[in-house]
Parts: sequence; structure tokens; C-alpha cells
Amino acid sequence: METFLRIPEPFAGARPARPIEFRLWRPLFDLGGFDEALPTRSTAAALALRNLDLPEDAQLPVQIRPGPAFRDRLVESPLLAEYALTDPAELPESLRTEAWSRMCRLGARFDDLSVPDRVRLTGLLAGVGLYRHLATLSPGPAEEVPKNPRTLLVRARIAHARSVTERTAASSGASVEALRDILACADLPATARLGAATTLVVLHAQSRLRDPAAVDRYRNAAHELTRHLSPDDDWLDLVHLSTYWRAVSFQPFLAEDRRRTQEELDLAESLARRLPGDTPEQRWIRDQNLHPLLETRTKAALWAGDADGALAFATELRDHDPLDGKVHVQLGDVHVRRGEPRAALACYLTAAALGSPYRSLAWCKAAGVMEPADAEHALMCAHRGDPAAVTPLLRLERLARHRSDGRLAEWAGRSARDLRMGRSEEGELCVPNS
Amino acid sequence: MRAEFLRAPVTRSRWHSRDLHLLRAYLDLTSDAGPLHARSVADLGRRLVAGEQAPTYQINTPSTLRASLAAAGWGKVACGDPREVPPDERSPRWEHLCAMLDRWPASPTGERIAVAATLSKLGFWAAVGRLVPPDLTPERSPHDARLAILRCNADFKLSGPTPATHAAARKTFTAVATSQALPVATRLTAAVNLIVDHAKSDRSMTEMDRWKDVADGLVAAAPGEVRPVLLSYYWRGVSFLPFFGGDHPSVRRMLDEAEDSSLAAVEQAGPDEVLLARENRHPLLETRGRAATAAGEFDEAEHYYRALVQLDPEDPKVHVRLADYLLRRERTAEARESYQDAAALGLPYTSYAHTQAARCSLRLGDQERALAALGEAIAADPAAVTPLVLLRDALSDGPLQRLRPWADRQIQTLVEPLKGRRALAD
Repeated sequence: METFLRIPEPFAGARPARPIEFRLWRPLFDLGGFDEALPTRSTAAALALRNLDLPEDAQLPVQIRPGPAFRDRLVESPLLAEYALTDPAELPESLRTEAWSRMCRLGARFDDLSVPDRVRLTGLLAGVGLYRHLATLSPGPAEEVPKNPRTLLVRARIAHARSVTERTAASSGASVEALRDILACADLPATARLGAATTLVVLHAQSRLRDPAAVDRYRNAAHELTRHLSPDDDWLDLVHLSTYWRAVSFQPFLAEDRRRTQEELDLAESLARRLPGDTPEQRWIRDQNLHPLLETRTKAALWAGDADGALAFATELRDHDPLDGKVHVQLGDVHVRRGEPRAALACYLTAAALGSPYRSLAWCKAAGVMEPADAEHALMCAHRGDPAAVTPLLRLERLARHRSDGRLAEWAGRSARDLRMGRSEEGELCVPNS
Repeated sequence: MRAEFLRAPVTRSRWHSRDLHLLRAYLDLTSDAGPLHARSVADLGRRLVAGEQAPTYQINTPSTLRASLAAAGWGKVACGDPREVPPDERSPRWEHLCAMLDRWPASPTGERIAVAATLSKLGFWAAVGRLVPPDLTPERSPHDARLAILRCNADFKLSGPTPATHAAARKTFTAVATSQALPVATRLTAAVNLIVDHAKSDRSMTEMDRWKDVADGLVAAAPGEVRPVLLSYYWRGVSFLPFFGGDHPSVRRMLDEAEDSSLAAVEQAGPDEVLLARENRHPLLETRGRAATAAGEFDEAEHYYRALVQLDPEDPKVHVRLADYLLRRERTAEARESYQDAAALGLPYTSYAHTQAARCSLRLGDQERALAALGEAIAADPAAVTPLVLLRDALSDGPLQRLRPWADRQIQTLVEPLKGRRALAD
């Protein structure tokens, strides 16, 4: 054997080394690590944390949050087992930061909190991906709403959490209903109502709830609300307007109107590029706006057949947010579409190096652009990265049969069937998204 | 991304891992899958329940195996006693072992041997140390000899190869090898063990010669009592003497004899003996590979390492052996492929194999592939320093260079408890 150093027991357990995921996504684990370069999606928690100390009318917008499956994938590592929790209070005291302890203290008396504090806390719980806990919280009595319309924001967050954790038509419908209530409430700030309208546009533009008529309706509603914005006076209104244009561009997209889609995304981008970056908060908000915008622009360019444009946007996103595995996967996908497998492979492997939750997907995609002998290894890495992933197993089975490796094929096929047994396509989750 | 990548909504997904599939016998004494050493664990489990004698398998369970299984998140497998596994998580064979442990004080010697051999194979050496007293008189009976040898092995595993453990082992083996009361096979095994022990520690030619004479005498005195597997073991053991003398032709001749015996063992084996006979070929082919390499017979060495892969294809170690050989021959791309094969098979070589694959990739100028492999190595073994050092050095540029300070901190975190003991990293 070649030289290979490892710390012998019992020293290895003295201070357990944390995996790379802990470094990259630490805000989700203990609300710490904000002093280091982070993937943009980690900064949702930072903004939500900052909002705890900001007045009701000066709350900062949190534009992208890791979804519930995102956190689940991260904590599957045995090295992060202590962080596999539902309630933030389950985290051992010794692992808590002051910020986490503060979140726990607030959570312990959630029902007694003021409405603004409930808004802040629900935002923070969503920021760290604790949707299952959020879903258990009481939205409060309906009678509270007329007294304090901001209660609707709390109700919408809890309804959203129930929707993404329960994944039923009823919970999804309740979440949409909660957003409609916000939009309809004239006593709420225009930016809150605009946020609800643009979210409704996006929801109705996508598969399950796809409804072009609803997209039109909520786009119009959102458009009316943009009249309240003053982007030349308030930099946060630049954010709201950029987000608005990005969301409503779904309408021309669904109508297959490439020119209008591009024009509206151009508008979104021009606003995004005007955002200031003088303070950490400004930089987080700017980056959170730019990240999904560049993702959307990449997809739109591919859809429009503009492979060079897609490559430019995806490359900018990679340079903008290099510690997020997903952006490397997306750049790899663009290279594949351009017929550049070597460049794609480099991107997928870089994504794999960044660990979960994209590790398995990245290896699986890498396998697709490798020679068969290497592909088998890559698919095994994909399996190890997420043993519940079905796709790598199915591909392994096919590849192993092709290579006449009966034992591997038999195991991979049986494992894939075991994992899928009794489960419908509908019930299967895929890679976590924001 | 959604449509093209499916995942089952299961919890405890690590229990679906292939590593576990290959090594599950270490957790249930039942699963007849994976490398030969895991299959022999299942065989011991079967014999335990059937009340059959436990054969002496030669592949010693890697010291870190149970710890690796536990670190990978598989239950309480690192525990010091099988009874610490909760009853509802025990397989019927595991339950049977636990029941035998409960009645250990009253159990007959034959049963004790079966239990101790199974515990030893499972890697529960602390339990062996607790149950088997250190003051047996091994020269008195074959049972005591077997138990005493199992106890010596447990002490080696628990304390490492220290002067004390070597001295204790030699005392036991000497008592067994020279006892007229014991069967030839038992004495011969002990004599060969003494040769191997000296070969791997003080390399005393005087002692090795002495025990070779004893072994030769035993083989000559009762050839009928020496079954082919033991004869193969004998030839392999005595080949250490010419090896240290640089007499490669003699080494080769002896190993040819060992191989002939091993093949005869496979050919003559009944259904219950096939595994033991095949398992014997594993260390033999390893030895042949090493001996041929030392003799400069590289084609021959490669032949043996590839034969080893063919014999035991689901053991990551055999792929590591081939890969290490290929890397030394500067056949870097081929070495990487073999390291990747080893890494795919997993524990306990996952981290090492990925790290070596990364070294190959770095030599081949394949930076991203090296980074991805190092990521796997670090994820597989949080106590491994080498992949972190390689990662830190590889992060001097490129999109991930902002992670360099993290890699550096991780190294410091790991080596901190050892400061002042020995120099690591850098």
C-alpha cells in the first residue's frame, strides 16, 4: 500500500471532522459560518436571522431557500447525524450557536409571540429548511386576521410548509389559497402582495398546477402592484421589480413567445445588475436575486436555441456561485447540449466534489459522458452518495448486464426494485430544489 | 433534473448501500454474499447453529472493519459484544450466538471454540479477550490449543504487534508446536505460525530455521495427517526462509508446491470444504504476487494479482493489490481503473482507494476527477488525513479554491490531538 495517513483511534473521535457539506451549508445546521464564502442559498438563513432584529416595515426579502428535501439529503451523512432533527430544540446544547439558541427560545413560546415575531421566526425556520417543524406550528385563529393582516404571512408560510412536507392536493390547495388571501388583502404592504402574486404566477406556470389563465390573472394583479414601487428611490424595490419580471416572463414562455420572454428577462437582468453590494445584506440580496435569474436565463436561452447565450449565463452563474454544486451540474448540462462531453464531465466532477445534496446526481450525470469502464465507477459513486437513488441503480444494472457482470447486475436490479416496491412514480422524490 | 433522476423516499437510506450488501454477514452471520472473508463469516454462523466444528479460516478480519461499519452508520456494529445489538435487530443466527454467549460458563469446550472462532472472525476481539483466559495450557489438548491461539490473535488485534503480544504468541505457539500430546496438524500450524511471526517481526533466521526443522519433521512423520490446505499453508510459510536469503528460485519452487496443494484442496473439497479451500488460495496468490515482484518477474506478478481478482472479485483489497502493483510499474491509467474498482466495492478500503485514484488522476493531469475522488475519500473516512492534504494542495486554483482554508483547518483539527506525538501532513 502507498502512503496513507489516518488518525488512529481514539484520537480520531476527539474532535470529529465535519464533512464538506457542513462547511458549505453550515447556516442550515447551526446558524453559524456566515464569516466564510458560502453558496448563495446558504445566505437565506443569514437574511432571515438579520430580520429578527429589524422592524416590521424594514424586513429584508429572502428570495431563495433550500427546500425540505435539501436539508434531508444533507443530514443523511452519519457525520451529521446530530443535525437530523425536526424541531430546532432537538439540537444538543453543545452544538448550538447563540443564534440557534435564540431561535429555540422564540420557538418555545411561538403561540405567545407577537405577529411580527411569528413572521420573523417562520421566515427563519424556512431559511434553515426546518419545514417539518414549521408545518406543526399553529397558524392561529382566523379571527386574528382582521386585527393584524400580517397574520396572513404566518399562515402562508405554515401552509407552504405543510404543502411541501405532506405533498397532497389538499395541502397544496391550502397553500395556494393562503397566497390568494395575501394578494387580496389591501391592508398588507404592496411588496408582500406582489410577492404572493409572483409566486402564484410561478406556481401556475409549472407542472402540477399549470393553468395559463391563472398565470394571466396573477400577472395582471402583480402588474398593478408594481405601480407602488419606486426603484429609483429604494434599492429594495429594484429587487422586487427584477423578481417580478423574472416571474411574469413565464407568461410569454408558456405562449412560446421567445422575443417577449427575452425582453422581459432582459428587464429583470438590467434591474438585477443595478443592485448595490456595499453591505453584506446588500450582497446577499443581490446574489439571491442574480442566482435564480441566471438559472432562468440559461434555461430560456437553451429553449430559444441560443447555445452560446446559455453557456455565457451558466458560466457566469458558476463564477458567481462556485461553491454550489447545482450550478456546476447546470453548466455541465449546457455543455452536453452543446455536444461538449469533456467540458461537461469536468463540471459534473466538480459538482461531485462539493458533496451532497448534488453528489449523487453529479456522478450519475458524469457517468453519462464517460467511457463504460469509468461510468460503472461513477454510478457506484452515485449510489454511495445517495443509496436511495434509483436512477444510478437502474443504469448500473443495464451497464453491468452489457459488461456481463451478472453479480453486479443482479444486485443493482434487485436494489432498484426494492427501493421502488410499492411506490408510484408520483411518490418518488428527485434532487432537492430551492 | 426532476424527470431524469429518481429517488425513493426512504429513511435510513444507507442501509441500501452496496458496502453493506457485501459485508452484511458481519451484521447477521447469515448473508452469503460478498468477498470470501464475508462468506466465511456466514459459514461460521451456519456451523454455529448446526453444531459443526469451526474451520480455521486464514484471512484475518481487518482490525478497522467493525469501526468502519459503525462509522458508516450501520447500527451498533462497533460494540464490544454481540449481545449489545438490540434483540429486535438480531438475525436468528445472531440470536443463537447471543444465547451461546449467555451460557458460556457452562458450555462444553467444543462449543466454546465455535463461539470464540466466530467472535474472532466477526471482529469482537474484546469479547474473546474477556471470555478466553490468558493462562490456558495449550499443550494439554487440541481444544485448549485452539482457544489459546484465538486469545493470542485477539490480543494482537487489541494491543497491536507489541513485544508483549509477540512474546505471548510465541510462548503459546511454542507450547503447541512442541507438545507430543497434540495432533500433527495442530502442531504443524503452530510451527508455521512461528516462522511467519518471526518473518514479520524480528526476521531471525535462527528462529525461522529452528521452526522450519520442526515443521519439516512433522510433515515427514505423518504425511497422512496433513491435508492439502495445511500443506499449502506449510509451503507458503517456509518460503519465507529463502525469500529473506534472496533465493528467489527456491521461493518459487516452494510456492509452486503451495499452489499445487491449494489446487488439489479445491479439487478434493467436499461441499462443506470448498470455501475453506478457495479461501486458502487468497493469501497464497497475494504471496505469489509479492514474491514474483521481489524477484523482478513482473509479468508473473501481474498474472497472480489478476488471478487474485478473479478468485475473490468482490473483495476491494484484491483490486488494491493489483492497483498498487500497476502504479509501481507506472501504469497509471490502469492503476486508476483498479483503484476505482476497489473504491466501488467499498469498506474498508474506500477512502484509500479513492485517494489513490485521485493521485493517479493528478499524475494524468485530470484535476476535476482528482477533486471528485478526494471528495469521496474524505466522505468515506473522516479520520483520513492524506486525502485532505492532497485536496488542499489541489485547490491552489480553479473554482473551488475558496475551500482551501477549510481543507487546511480540517487537517489541523485532525492532527491537533496528536501534536507532539509525531509529525503528520505537510
